[in-house]
Amino acid sequence: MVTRNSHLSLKPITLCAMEPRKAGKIDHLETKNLGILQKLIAMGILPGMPITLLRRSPSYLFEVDQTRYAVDEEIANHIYVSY
Amino acid sequence: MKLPVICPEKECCCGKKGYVPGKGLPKIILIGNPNVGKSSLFNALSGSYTLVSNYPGTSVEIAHGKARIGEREYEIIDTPGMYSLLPVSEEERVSQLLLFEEKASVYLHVVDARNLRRMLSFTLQLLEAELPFILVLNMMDEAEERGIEINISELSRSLGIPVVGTASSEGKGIEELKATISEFTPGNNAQKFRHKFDYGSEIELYIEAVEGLLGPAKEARISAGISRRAISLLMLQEDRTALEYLHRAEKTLEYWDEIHEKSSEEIRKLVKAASKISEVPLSYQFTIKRQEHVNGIVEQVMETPERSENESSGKIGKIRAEEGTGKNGSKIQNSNLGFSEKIDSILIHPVLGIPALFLILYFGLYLFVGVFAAGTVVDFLENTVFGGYINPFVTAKFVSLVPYPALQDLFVGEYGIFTQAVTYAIALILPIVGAFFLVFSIIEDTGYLSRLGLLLDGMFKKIGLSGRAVIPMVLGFGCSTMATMVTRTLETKRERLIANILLALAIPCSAQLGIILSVLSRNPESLLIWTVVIILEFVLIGFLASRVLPGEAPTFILEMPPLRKPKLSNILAKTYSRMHWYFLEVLPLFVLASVLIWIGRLTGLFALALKVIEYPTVWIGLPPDAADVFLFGFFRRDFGAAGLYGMHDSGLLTGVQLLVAAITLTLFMPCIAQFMMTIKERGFKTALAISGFIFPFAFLTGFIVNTLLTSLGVSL
Repeated sequence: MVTRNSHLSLKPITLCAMEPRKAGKIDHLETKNLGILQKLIAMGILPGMPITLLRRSPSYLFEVDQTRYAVDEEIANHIYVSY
Repeated sequence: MKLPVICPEKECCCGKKGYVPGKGLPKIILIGNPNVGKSSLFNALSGSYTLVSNYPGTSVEIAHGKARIGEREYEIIDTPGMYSLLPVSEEERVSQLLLFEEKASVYLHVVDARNLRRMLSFTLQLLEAELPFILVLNMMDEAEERGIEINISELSRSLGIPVVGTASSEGKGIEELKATISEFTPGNNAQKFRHKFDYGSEIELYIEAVEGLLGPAKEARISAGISRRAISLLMLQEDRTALEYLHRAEKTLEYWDEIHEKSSEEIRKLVKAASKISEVPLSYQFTIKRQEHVNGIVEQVMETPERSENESSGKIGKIRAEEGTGKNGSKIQNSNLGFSEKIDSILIHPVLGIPALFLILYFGLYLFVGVFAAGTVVDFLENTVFGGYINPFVTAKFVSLVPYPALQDLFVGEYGIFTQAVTYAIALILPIVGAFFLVFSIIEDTGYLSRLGLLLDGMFKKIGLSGRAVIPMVLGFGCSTMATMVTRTLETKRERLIANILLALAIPCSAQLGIILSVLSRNPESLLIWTVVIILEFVLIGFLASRVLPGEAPTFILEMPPLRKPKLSNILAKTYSRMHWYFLEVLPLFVLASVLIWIGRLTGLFALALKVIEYPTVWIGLPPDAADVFLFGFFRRDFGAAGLYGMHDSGLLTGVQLLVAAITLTLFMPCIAQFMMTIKERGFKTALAISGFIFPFAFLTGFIVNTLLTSLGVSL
């Protein structure tokens, strides 16, 4: 698990594709759906924030900074992360 | 969920009586994200309580209270949580409007100390708005538990405003906060700050241009609470409230003239042009800029225990444990955190979470509320205390004092105010609803409701709801009326409507559930069939509604507060305040029902109505006498259910008939109060449409169940 951290993956992936329990950073947010975008930024889910996916079932649970959020797949697909 | 209006010293603080404690005094307004402890701070300052819960977004209305700080008295106002000055949900809009319209002598921006990085962005917006405020870092105890260190004086210096650290649930830091409020003098800090922070030269031109057009002439109307710069920023983000303000100014300003008209047209043009200069929406761009600034501040003032790659790739529990030892956390706290992580991961496990839920339901709802409260306690109160002592005594006294049979009938007759309304309320409803609210408050205080939302979101999506709807749905088992009010925390109109229909149709409230359980539990098969039918209805109608009703499917996003050990004082306060609300709401309706029945019986209207209801009653295979039950069911489902209890006791119903009656009655509209609340929340037409659907549908289901059971020759 640890060894895989050593290489840098450059291309941002969505939260859905993120490896659980591996710390990453929010790269950017999908901006097409303004409603979802505004919800995310209001809750402080923003580019540059440290993010860790904790589980993907029954819903996506992740930690940004010190707070945990539960979201569905639709919203998880609006969050792009990089390691 | 300022569900119920919670009032200091039984004064009613909002709505009905129009009484506002502390009105006319200098104001203190609390603002901040959901679930940061605003309500518990409000309670600590005002000495009264709103509901404090470990669930984001539970204060849905503005709460008022009175506080004495130092030598002065203040009116203190608690607002629904808002994440930023630009609202996303309806509750946030409530708070935003308040900021537009009220002027307080001091605002308290309450933030969760652990999450400074996420919360300071809103602080910057408040600085932009030039509100005189104190930053309150709440939950300092929980931050310390995680080994987070914050340099408060440095933070205060870099923002240019007073900052106080508190742990409001423990009562820590409250005195210091009070002292800071007493000494508070709104300086021109905001101006100082503005020199340090802008959104980039290109967009700043637009911000200033709009600001300039707002003009001094309109100042009185437009910048009631917040600065012109803040309004200008909101306008550029096409915020509805800000734009409506402009619109309203156009309409109401007496000295409206061409210059003003021209400027408001200019503003619209500017807004349009500004949106084109950036590839991403301006709200996004602004937030990112603010966050960059916040990150700079946070780096200066806050130290979080390091979390290396190595640790975070391990088990979650392990991360927590190492986090603590890394800094100044003690061993005991670490093992606590690890333990609660373990419990947490069971509660939200896709497989293990379901049996965990059933265990909670079994012990909390079935054993405690159903068997103990609705069985043992009700039995004792109703039959022994009221039936054996109080009622015979009161009836005898009343009859000897008041010799008029009509009045005797009104007060102590079969459906009398005392013998029916008061007896039901105290002997039946009080223990059942009280027990439910107690269990609900415990569950709520631990943070389990959010976990339930996470667990059930996928299933709820199939019936057009999101995991967020868990709270009104669970609350509906306590009181449908309260739950209907809480549906406003749901995001879309469609979701609110579906939740409302399901609450009215298929979620029996605790009073009714208790009675039905005790009627049916003598025959486990009946209970099983009842359960299956009600669940099927819930799923079927939800599913159909989500197909039929127009609008987008809901999305789900919810903050997950840490799992906490419930606090006795919180639980008692919440249970008490809900009971209080419930009784204010319900007892008058009981009395009203008694009076209406009395009038109905005197005038013969009652007999007429019974004749009408006899048709569907007989149609679903019940004896004509059961029409009584349904007539009462119009007033309250549990009222009707209690009638069922009586009929069953006197052996008037067969097992199948009892089951059919119980099902039909469960599907009825819950009660008049719920109907009134539906009107309030959804409008008269929708409320009427919902009941127009529910009553025939309830009888139809009863008919189908009866036909099936009789044709299969089932006897229960």
